[in-house]
Amino acid sequence: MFGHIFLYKTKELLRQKWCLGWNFLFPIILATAFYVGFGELIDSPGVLTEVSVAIVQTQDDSTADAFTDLVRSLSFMDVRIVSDDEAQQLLKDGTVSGILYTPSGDAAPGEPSLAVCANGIDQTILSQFLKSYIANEREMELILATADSPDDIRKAADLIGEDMSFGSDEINLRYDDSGAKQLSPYMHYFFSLIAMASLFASWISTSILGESMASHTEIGKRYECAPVPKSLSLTAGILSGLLTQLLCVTCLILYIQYVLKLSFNTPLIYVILLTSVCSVTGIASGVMFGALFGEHPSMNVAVPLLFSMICSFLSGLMVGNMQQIIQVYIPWLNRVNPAALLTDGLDSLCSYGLSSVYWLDMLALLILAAAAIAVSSLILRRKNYASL
Amino acid sequence: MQQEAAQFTPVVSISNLVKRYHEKVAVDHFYLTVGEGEILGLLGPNGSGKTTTLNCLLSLLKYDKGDISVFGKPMTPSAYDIKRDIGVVMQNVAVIDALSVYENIDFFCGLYIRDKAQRKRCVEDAIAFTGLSEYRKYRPKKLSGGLLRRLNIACGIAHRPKLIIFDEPTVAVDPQSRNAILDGIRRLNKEGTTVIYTSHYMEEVEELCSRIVIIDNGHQVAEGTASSLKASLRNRETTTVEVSRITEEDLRSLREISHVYDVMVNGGTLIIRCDGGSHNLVHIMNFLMERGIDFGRISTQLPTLNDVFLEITGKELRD
Ligand SMILES: Nc1ncnc2c1ncn2[C@@H]1O[C@H](COP(=O)(O)OP(=O)(O)OP(=O)(O)O)[C@@H](O)[C@H]1O
Ligand SMILES: [Mg+2]
Repeated sequence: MFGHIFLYKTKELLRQKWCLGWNFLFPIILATAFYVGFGELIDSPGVLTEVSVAIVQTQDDSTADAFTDLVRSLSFMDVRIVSDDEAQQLLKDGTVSGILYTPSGDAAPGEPSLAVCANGIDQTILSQFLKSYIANEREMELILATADSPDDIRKAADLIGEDMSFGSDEINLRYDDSGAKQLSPYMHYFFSLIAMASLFASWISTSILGESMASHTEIGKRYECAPVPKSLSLTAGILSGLLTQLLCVTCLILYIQYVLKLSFNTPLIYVILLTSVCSVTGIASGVMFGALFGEHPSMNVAVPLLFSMICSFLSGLMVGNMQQIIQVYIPWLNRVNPAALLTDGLDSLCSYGLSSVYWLDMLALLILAAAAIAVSSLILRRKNYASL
Repeated sequence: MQQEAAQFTPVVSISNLVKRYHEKVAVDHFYLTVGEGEILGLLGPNGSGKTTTLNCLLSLLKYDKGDISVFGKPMTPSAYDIKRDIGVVMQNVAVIDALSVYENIDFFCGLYIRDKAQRKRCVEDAIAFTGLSEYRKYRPKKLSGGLLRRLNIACGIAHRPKLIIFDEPTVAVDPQSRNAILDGIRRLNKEGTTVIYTSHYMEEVEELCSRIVIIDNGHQVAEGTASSLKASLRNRETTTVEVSRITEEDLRSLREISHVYDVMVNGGTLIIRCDGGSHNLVHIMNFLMERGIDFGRISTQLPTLNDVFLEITGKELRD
């Protein structure tokens, strides 16, 4: 019975034009468009320019010195130590992108601060640096207060590094000179695209759910009149949706690597694995949307579509550094956005190889999927309906 | 009424069914018993609760009150042994667009029958039965309305159920296809299938159904065979006469003729209703000739199920 439904559902999905078009062709076409649009930029490895910054030492004590040393130790910072007035002048000229004021006083500890007068990637990096410094302030100050060897400063820099690695390649590339491979910063757009394609799985499952429920469609009535437990027919349908989806995203990944010849710099199996897990999350969210809104046919497409588009937009599909901006203002959003989790995992995987970031992102995706399934099964548990 | 039905072996028994949609009572203390081998016609105006009753019967809908049993066992959403023997042809076409005619039937049949060889036979039979052999490779989108309805039926009956529920299977179907469908239902019934059939086409029901239940506002308002229902009407014969001129005095005398209970003039047409008797037409013609009233075409009509339906459910429009 399971096999019967699974086979027919798969056949049905593979023949459906919208499925073929949106889940298979559209991401490939978009990938090609990105490729053509970025042109030669893609091939140039990450541009290792430095962020020029002026440091104004508000007070002359050990904390300020240690802070200055820390900033200096960061390879992507081009540091000048100047007076406040000079710094303002440099900022106006555009010679520096920002001014960092050192934390004040051993006696009355205060936070370091930043002044910028424009918006851009350099400014984002500076503010990101400051955020992670402040976030780790206690530890940082402890290390810096007792800092007497360059090693201690290095330790503090690493602490910041961990935080900043959640950002985009651009930061990683500029920051990390210790082992990051040369990954084109433009690959992030392709990661977001893969995330979008994975989340498109949601409407496959929304439609499968709709087709299996009497409250949603006439075909659903046939299912529910048949001597087949709903859990069985739904599981078979959803798994066939997942299979179809995995075929689509695997093709996309292979297309990017072998046809567009953009390297992931890592064994593809890990890329495919994380993407598959993200597709599971997409499928699970689709089931949840179907369970929640599926009775209104218009919602069946609108909700999954909005969901995939918003999630992938927030992960940087159109604005490359979207994820860092979010990391600065609403960091938790990056932790619950499946697209951001996927791009983060891929960023990390392709820059540093397998790491805990990759596995944690995968875990977070699985937790999201489990939550969506739990919500859906609560709703789908009912056996018959108050209204059809 | 119920005692009469209890003589059959009940295949379906619905008692005291109440179904509310919020405030609206869609089915209101409804009783229905269907015996083995019957073709039961379930009639009622739009919105009278037919589909709702059938959905309750199939355990798709929760209901507020009542007992439903099928094949002598209580019907529940997980009564798979009962569901296995029920075939459903819903009011709206429910087929999968991406699958061909053959695949559609095979898919739905496969939900009931595991054995491949047996299933193949069933599907072939269903295709032959609905006359879809030429179209087995077609996708539903390419089928005409009538063929689509036939496919819808084939999907519902391929697994050879003992009870088939048809909810208006002949809507928007031309007379040829309709006859084919009705013949098919009759054949199924001859092979022992019990049928519940709803329709708004009275002639269809009159000719097909062995028993008829009329439902209105969610409860049963009449029950019986087509002829017993017609016999329950006061009107037995309606005579229509084209007349050029007739006086009030003539009309009064017409009403005196035995069995005539209603006389009406509508433009140049005289309508006379009789509640029995056997030579009403002769009496009426004699009367007209005696009075020297010129008349043109005369016709008489026996009451139809339509008349029964309109008399019982009233003439006002429904939702
Ligand atoms: N899902 C629903 N929610 C609220 N009211 C409903 C719902 N479905 C049906 N109704 C109401 O219940 C009543 C019975 O509807 P039902 O569909 O059973 O009628 P029906 O006899 O099948 O009519 P038709 O001949 O038009 O098919 C109608 O008044 C209808 O408006
Ligand atoms: Mg109906």
